[in-house]
Amino acid sequence: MSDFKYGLMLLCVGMGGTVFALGLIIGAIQLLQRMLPYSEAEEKRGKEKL
Amino acid sequence: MLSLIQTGFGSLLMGLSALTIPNAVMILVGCGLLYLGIKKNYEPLLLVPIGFGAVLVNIPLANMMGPEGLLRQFYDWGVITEVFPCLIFIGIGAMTDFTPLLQNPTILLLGAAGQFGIFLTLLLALGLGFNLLDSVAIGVIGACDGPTSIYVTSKFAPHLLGAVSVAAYSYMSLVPLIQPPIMRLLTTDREKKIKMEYSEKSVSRRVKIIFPIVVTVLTCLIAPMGTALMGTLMLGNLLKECGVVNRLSNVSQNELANAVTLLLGISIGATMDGAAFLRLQTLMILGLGFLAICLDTVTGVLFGKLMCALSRGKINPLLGAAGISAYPMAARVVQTEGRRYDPNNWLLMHAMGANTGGQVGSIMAAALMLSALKGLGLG
Repeated sequence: MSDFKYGLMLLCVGMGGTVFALGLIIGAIQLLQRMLPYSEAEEKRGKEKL
Repeated sequence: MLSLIQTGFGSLLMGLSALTIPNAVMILVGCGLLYLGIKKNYEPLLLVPIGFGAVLVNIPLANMMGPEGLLRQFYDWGVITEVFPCLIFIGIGAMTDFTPLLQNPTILLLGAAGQFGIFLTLLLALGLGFNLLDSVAIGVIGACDGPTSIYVTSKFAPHLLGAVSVAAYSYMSLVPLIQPPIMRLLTTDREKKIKMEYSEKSVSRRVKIIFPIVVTVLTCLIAPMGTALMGTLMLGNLLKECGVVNRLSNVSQNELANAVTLLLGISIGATMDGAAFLRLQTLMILGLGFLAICLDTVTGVLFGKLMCALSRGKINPLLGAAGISAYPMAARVVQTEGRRYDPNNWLLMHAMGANTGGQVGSIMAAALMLSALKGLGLG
């Protein structure tokens, strides 16, 4: 396979993989926000523990 | 006795007589970098040690990069082993606040669009006759991320390390000059004036602590060859956010980052030996690096326009320019450009989110290339 074909493969894998991975991270953040919403009382408790 | 004295004085001229034109030119280049760092304040933390390293390595007979040379010890210990870029990432992670990204996670996609220039430049480098691994190292300049560029180049093309790292750091510092004309050209006045609401919606401390762990596991499972980069960035961030290791967080942000920046800078400068650096290839790499950052900005802004259209005008396309890794310079550029057209437009927090997305995106793009090449038996 020529270097240019490897280059095109890296373009597809690199960009496709980056979009896929960042998409997963977005999903994970949204899930975390839903599971662990901000609560004033919780934050206070956390700070007191420290 | 007289002849002995003459010989003694004669030996004082040995260095001068051994000075070659390439060495002299590179000493001037080193002084130029010192000027940019000291007088113009362009990334002085890096350009000053790099410039001084370039001066030192071009002193004839000093043998600073010889087998026993001082700079060779720094280079072999920290750059060849890839220790320095990873330690820098711990510091960067400890300095980075991902809160704006956690508040508005969709802008993370801008961090992907901002990496397109890496791959276009890779193809251009191949077209200009560079081999695949050299082209990968050149393309990564478009990550606009010094440690990532150094990590990838020291793995695939150590002979290009000087040119690639100088290009990466110089263009990072020139982001405020490179990006604005492209941003102005690609957006209409109406788009530039789009205001984005910023809600002070707080993010739970537990989310901030879990975020670096989740990102590490997800991304490193997809591209294991980038674990050293993503892992150290996220470790630094975890030290900051967990709140129980403030001493480690402080030392990462300050003493560790400063000491490693000094050693890394001087080691990069040490690769700028006249005989190896003054070649047409170096000029081509500098040109391609510049193009890479321009292309990142173009694709980022174009993707911003797409997001603007999809969100029915709720996202300012200028934010796309912040989807690169130059943190926080790119975010500041977006803020400045936004306010240039409407002094009451505050885009900074959104741009910070896109910019941290660019950091994650650039590491991810590099990690995917490392993993793909490893899978092909080329890495």
